Amino acid sequence: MSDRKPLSKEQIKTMLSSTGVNLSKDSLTRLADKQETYNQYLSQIDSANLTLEQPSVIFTFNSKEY
Amino acid sequence: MSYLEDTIAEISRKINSREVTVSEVIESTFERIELLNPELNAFISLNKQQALENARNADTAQKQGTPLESLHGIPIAVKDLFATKDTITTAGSSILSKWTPSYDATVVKKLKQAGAIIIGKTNMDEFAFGGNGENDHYGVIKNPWDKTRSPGGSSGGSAVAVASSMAYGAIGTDTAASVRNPAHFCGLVGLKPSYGRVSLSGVIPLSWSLDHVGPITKTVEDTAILLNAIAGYDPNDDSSSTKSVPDYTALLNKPISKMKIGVLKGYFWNPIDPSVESAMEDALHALRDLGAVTTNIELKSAEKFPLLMNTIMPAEAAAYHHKWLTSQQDKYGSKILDRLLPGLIVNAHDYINAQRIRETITKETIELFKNYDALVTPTVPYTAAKIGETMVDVGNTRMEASSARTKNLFPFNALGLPAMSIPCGFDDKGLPIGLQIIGKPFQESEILQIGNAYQTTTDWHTKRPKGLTI
Repeated sequence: MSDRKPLSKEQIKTMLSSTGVNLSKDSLTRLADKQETYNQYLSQIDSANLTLEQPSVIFTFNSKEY
Repeated sequence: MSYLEDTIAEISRKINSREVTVSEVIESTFERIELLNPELNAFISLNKQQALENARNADTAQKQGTPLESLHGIPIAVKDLFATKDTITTAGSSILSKWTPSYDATVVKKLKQAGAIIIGKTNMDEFAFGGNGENDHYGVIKNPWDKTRSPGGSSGGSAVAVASSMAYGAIGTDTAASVRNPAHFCGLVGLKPSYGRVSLSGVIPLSWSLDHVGPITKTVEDTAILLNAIAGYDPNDDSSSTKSVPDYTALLNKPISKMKIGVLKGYFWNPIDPSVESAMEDALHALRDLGAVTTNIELKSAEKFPLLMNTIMPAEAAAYHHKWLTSQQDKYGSKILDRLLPGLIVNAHDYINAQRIRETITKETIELFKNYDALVTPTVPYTAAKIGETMVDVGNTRMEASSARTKNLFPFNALGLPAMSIPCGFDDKGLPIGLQIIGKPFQESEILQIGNAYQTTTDWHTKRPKGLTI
């Protein structure tokens, strides 16, 4: 499982403000603190052994495919 | 009044045989709401004047011999996430506190066409992103089985309205658990149909690829009645299926003997509260007595569902909410803001790969399903928590209430499969417990048959919270 490196508060602030979202100090701190939890999930994506070609993101769960 | 705690099927028979008029039913329903809602807080807004007028019109039509629709005169509550024409639709938010749509959501339109009377809009977690019924703008919803406890959510108000007999049935939405967990916590039937079975048009989205609409009722029969009214193709919803809709009530009494039921163990059974486990064992015993064949099985990739939930849902929700996060961020409650913001830092490739993982699990599940007619799990592995509790003990495991609440339910949002919770017992505190039945794609009729057969031999669905009768 790969380790995701958490973004610093400054990095998050820069990233979000570039899309027009500005966070209060408290929100920014809470979001930065939550990264550890979310990074654990994202690391599982890295270790999921997705094959080179498949699957695609055609939503076969969608009703039209059954 | 003798009909206040009736099911939809029961009150419908009384209205149709003129034992009671629609006006009487609506008036008594609002009397009950006025008595109970100030404490339970199930409704954000009520539709009394319009409902009374609709009731008078329904009575007149009946007297004139007009053929009666399936939901003629039935008081139904709708989650405040559904657009309702000329009626404020808040989505449980401050941002939409004054939004008055000029149209009805397709489901609302279909309910009205079937003769239902919409009595009000129910309280919910803000923008449906939450599951404990604690709304920062419209207050806390209380569980009628124990008013110090949460009813679950995000369709908590819809469940409380039905459990306390302030409505005969209700409509909710379910993106990760939000119809089925309130059904479990409030002793009701909650169905999340197949993705595409019920239109999402006119419903404020939470996460497009996971959102579903479903009924909350007292019995499986009532769920079949409501599903008949709301299911079907809608050209206004790109995710809507063109598959034909069967008559769910006509198929309800088909025997379930020899049906093969896979009992999902492993991830779905651990951790589990002993009272829930005991109720599950009893329920499986009852299903076997009805002739079903049960087999313990496992879904190997089940451990990956939390990663899908924590990637796909916040990313899609953040995409929808981005414009308000830039312009009206101060109007969000703190709980939803903490859930939305992580979605802003999910990378595009992580979102896409999460969807690919979802695809691999879907294929695995469809393969597993080839040998079974239905699957079952405990709905939620614990019973209703105290209001405000964010951590719960599930057996010997202490875990976040939000994770425990969604753990067994989100998988079937990700897979798009029909899944229904039905009451299967109570714990030693008198709190309800649910059994989840999962079907193959578009096989709602099979899980309704299983649920209905179970309710012919058990009486959990006939129990009502004490101390509410007027």
